[in-house]
Parts: sequence; structure tokens; C-alpha cells
Amino acid sequence: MKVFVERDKSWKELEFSGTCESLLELLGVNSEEVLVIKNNELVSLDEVCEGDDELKLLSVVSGG
Amino acid sequence: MGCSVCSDKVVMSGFCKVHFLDYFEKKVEDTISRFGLLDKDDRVCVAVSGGKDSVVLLYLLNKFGYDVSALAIDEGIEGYRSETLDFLRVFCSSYGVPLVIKSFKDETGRDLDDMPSHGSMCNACGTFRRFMLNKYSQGFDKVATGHNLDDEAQAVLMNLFKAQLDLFDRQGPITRESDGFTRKIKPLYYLREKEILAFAFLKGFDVPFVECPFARLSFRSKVRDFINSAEVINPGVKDNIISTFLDLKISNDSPVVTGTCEVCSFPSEGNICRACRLKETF
Repeated sequence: MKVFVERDKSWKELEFSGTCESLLELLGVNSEEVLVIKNNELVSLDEVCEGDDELKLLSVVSGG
Repeated sequence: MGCSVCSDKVVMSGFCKVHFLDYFEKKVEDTISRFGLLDKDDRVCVAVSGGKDSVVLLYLLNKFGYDVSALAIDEGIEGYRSETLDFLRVFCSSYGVPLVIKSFKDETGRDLDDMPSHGSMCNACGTFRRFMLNKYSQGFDKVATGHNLDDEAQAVLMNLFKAQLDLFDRQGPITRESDGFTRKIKPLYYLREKEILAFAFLKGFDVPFVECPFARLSFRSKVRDFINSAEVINPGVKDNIISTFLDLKISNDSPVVTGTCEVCSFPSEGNICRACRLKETF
């Protein structure tokens, strides 16, 4: 699975199967600070992500 | 559990894509109505940065049929503002909204990058931004900003932590009428940052992600982290901060007394306003 973290502008590759919420916990990302985009679709935190899914964690925090 | 309206897959705030967009717009309309933020024939100056909040705000006020113009402030921070201004020019043009851009450099003679820090660039930035927003919104009935629930909860705690209770007057969905100040409104007041980003994403606004280079050093960023951590542990923290604040504000509302700055003639708490005092340090 590929995960793009917008705030760091970095890609991560990892083996994972579970909810987006648990993925964020694994990555140490506060769920209040990101939107989860799975395969270019906005999804909620209880969406399951696995296999070849591509995730983008869009940063809610921006600007000044 | 599906969308609370139609049982389709939930994407945000308990709604599917379609009903989330409806909920969002209705929430803005309700805030405008509930607090009397706008009359139909008001001329509204929308303070825009090119970030998600102000872009969404501008889009909606324009869609709702208000007479809007956009005002952007270029602080002169290298590698930061130019990208969002480029986006703004295209966005405003596509919706037929006039855009005016004013810069710190033209106003003060310096970019923010060239100003003395006095410990934090945020102080100078905030002072000049507020001064310029007020100055260049004269002649409009209201100035609208994209401040959201997260921003306001952070500001309430920041002012509390710094014992700056006089700054509470800036908080709330609408400021009081005061000579020399364009009345400021915050139509996104009850919407969370996540919801605003979700709206922008679903509407296809390709808002550039940029972060002020000074932001991560700021006191606000620490308060934001604190509140977001608390919200995860105890959902509802942000709503509670805002509702408690508004209850206290209403019960303690007292008139703001300001004088006139001897240098620039704009409103001032003392003989010389904060902006002019800062300029004296250059």
C-alpha cells in the first residue's frame, strides 16, 4: 500500500490491512489533522484500506 | 452506518458526498441568518489568502448572491504567498469576482521577511494584516474572513493562556459596530477545518497546500496540537470551547472604547495604534 503524507510531502510503502483510523494511529497522525483520500475518493475513518490501495493524507492544517 | 439522510456511504460528518455538501452550505446559511451576519444588499469584502477556508467562503458568498469583492494581503514571505496568489487570480477570474491585492511592502516599506521579529513574526504579521484588512475594506458594509471552529477554539484558549481577555472582542461570529472599523463576520464559524477541506476537495477546488514557514514555531500551533489531541480523546471539546465562550461573551459584553491614532488616524487603543508602533521599530 502506498501512502502520501501531504504535510511532509512524502510517500510511504507499507503492508497494512485495517481501518483508516488504525492506519493513522500506526503512522502517528492525528485524525483531526488529515482527510483520508483512498484511490482518489474521500473516505471516512472507518473505511477499510488494504492491498494495492493508494492513500493520500491531505493536511487540514495549512497556511499561517 | 450509512448517511443520516439516505444511507449511502458516509464520507464526512455522518453524511454521504451529496448530503454533506448540502449540510455544509445550509450550515453557513444558518450561521448567517442566526447571527444576522449579512443583509441581502450588503457589499462584502472577503478577506482571501488562497487557502481552503477563504476560497470556500468566497465561493459560497458569491453563490448565495451577495455582492462580493476579494481582498488579499501579500505579507512578503518568501516561498509562501506567491503560489496562493497565483491560484487566487485564476479562481476569482473564473467566478467573476474582483480581486485586490495589497502588500506589506507597499504599506510599510518592508516585506515580513525583513521586519524585526521581536520574538515572533506572527505578532507583526497579525498586526499589519488586521490593520490592512480594516483600511482596505473601508466603504464595504462587512469584511468576511474564513475563520472556522478550529481557529476560534484555538484563539479562545490562546487569549485565555496569555490573559489577554480584551482580545476576546475579536472572537465570535460578528464583531460589534465600532467607529473606524469595518464590521467583521465569520460565516464559517461553526464548521471544522476538516469539513472545510472536505468541501473544497469534493467541489474540485485544487487549493494549493502551502504552510507558512513561521507556522510550526508559533504558539498557535502548540495550542492547535493540544486541542486536536483533546478532541480525539474526548470528542466535542472544540464545540464545548466555542459554546462556553459565546455564553460568557454574551453575558459580559461591554462597549469597546477606542481613540484615534495620531499617526494614521485609524482606530487605536492608545495614542498610537499597534501598526504604527511596530513601524517605529523598523
